[in-house]
Amino acid sequence: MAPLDPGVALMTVVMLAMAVGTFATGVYLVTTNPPVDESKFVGLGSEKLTDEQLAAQQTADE
Amino acid sequence: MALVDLGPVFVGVVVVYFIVVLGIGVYGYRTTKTEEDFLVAGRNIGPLVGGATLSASQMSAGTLVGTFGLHYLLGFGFIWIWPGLWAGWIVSLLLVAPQMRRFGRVTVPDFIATRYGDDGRNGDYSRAIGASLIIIAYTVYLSAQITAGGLIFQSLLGIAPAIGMFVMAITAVAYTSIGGMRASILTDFVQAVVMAVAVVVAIPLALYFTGGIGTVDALFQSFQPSFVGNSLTTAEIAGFMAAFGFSIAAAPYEITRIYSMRDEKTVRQAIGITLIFQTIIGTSVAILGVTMRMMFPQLTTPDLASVIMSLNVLGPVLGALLISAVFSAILSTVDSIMIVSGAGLAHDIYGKLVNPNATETQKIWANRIAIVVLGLIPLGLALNSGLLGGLVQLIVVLQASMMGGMFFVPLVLGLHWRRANTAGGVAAMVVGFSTVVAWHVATEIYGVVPASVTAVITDPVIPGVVMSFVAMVLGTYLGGKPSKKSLRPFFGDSSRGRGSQPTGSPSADAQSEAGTSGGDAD
Repeated sequence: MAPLDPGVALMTVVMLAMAVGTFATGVYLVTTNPPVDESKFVGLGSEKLTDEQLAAQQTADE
Repeated sequence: MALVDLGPVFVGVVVVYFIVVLGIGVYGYRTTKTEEDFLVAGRNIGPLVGGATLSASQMSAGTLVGTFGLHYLLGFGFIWIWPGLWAGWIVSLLLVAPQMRRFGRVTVPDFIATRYGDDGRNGDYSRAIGASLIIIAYTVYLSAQITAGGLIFQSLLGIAPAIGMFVMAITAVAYTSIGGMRASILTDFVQAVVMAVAVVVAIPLALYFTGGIGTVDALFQSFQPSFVGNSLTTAEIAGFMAAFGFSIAAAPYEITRIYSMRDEKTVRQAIGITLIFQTIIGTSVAILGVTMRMMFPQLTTPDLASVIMSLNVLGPVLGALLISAVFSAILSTVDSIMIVSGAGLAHDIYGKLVNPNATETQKIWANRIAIVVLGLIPLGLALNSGLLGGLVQLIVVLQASMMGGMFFVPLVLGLHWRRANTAGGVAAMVVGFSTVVAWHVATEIYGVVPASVTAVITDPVIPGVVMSFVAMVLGTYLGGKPSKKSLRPFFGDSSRGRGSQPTGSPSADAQSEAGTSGGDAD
């Protein structure tokens, strides 16, 4: 079997690493549960409220 | 002249394959009782079938014919398209797919009408804009799929393209209007498995025939080093990733499949399955395309590389199965798009705007009729390719970029930014769509954009998304705060974490109505 050119070998290693990483990510997603959402913000700075805060706000709105 | 020798083995395998697909169609018909069954398969698709359908609708015939041919033509460098695709799924997983499943409706315009519903007509105007753009873009895009199918029929079987187009369109219309989404998804599953098995089996055979990767490398190093090296620039690679990231996450036909899955966990697992499928098929197609160039360097057109491989490397049974999968892949793409554009007409326009009191039976038949109408119009366009001329070509080339530019920002910010309002959402759709078209015209038709800019911005979806984002922010801050009604389905549950009931379920709706949702936007 002929030896690989060094540049081709490097690219092959990079692509293989990405393929293996993506495959492993797929296996991880299939075999694990979604993480519990413990983040503080809904998105772009909008802070989440607790159930009690939501209820209080709802009461105030009414 | 036909490429395929229609021997008994080939005919037998193809007949069995299509009997299986037809059986799936009949099964889909028997299990369809409501519009929700027809459009989102009753929302009970599991992770394996769900992952396979995401893979099949994403890869389809374009992978087996087009991408395979590009590897044959350009070499290993084109393999960077695959990390782009994988990045697209990660973007979808993080920003769009689980949230859309939690929302749990039927179409993308359902989301648009709910989240951007402060238009004075309960979202009717927003829905009409979104649905109309989808119907127009996908109807014209279908004509290209049908045309491509006719050409493949011609190449393989030696029959006139018009006959191939007619057979393909009629088959897809009949099958889709009968079986609906369930039939489409199960067919995708069969197709994805066949594709994966065929390309994986082909690799050791191809390497055996060529003497291994080292031999292939040594041969091409001697006269065309770029073929086995990295022939793309960093900007081009980044462009691929951005284009796919924006387009996959916002593609209406993928989101409809997300709606069809059981729950958020299933969506996460299905994306995991599709990453596995696409890793296997993507790397295999790259290796096979390059080895085919060594074995058959003089093909008249690169698009024939996979077919030649089927006939010469895989053997009669597996080869015939792969060719069947090519046809099935085209049909699968066609029926996926037909369901989405048909739903735009039947569910969004007829069911929501024209006749909101329609019965389930009326809704199902409205979808079937819409599929027939929106399937035959593209056939007419395909058979009369000069009818719309350049407009058809424009939409065909830009379809994925149009969807990304039009829907990515409204979807992502609508799901994650409470302040986003109707003015911003509608402006983002229209500006994103218009920018993609304008960028294409400026670069490809008039050439007024400097080469130094196009070298960095390699796909029109990139300026489309940027301008869509600007329009969203400006429209949002120039307009008022969104109503509680428009926020409730998306932010009402989020404070209780992901384990809560999916919005759209009876209990979640009841909780919303009971007033446990979030308040006004910040």
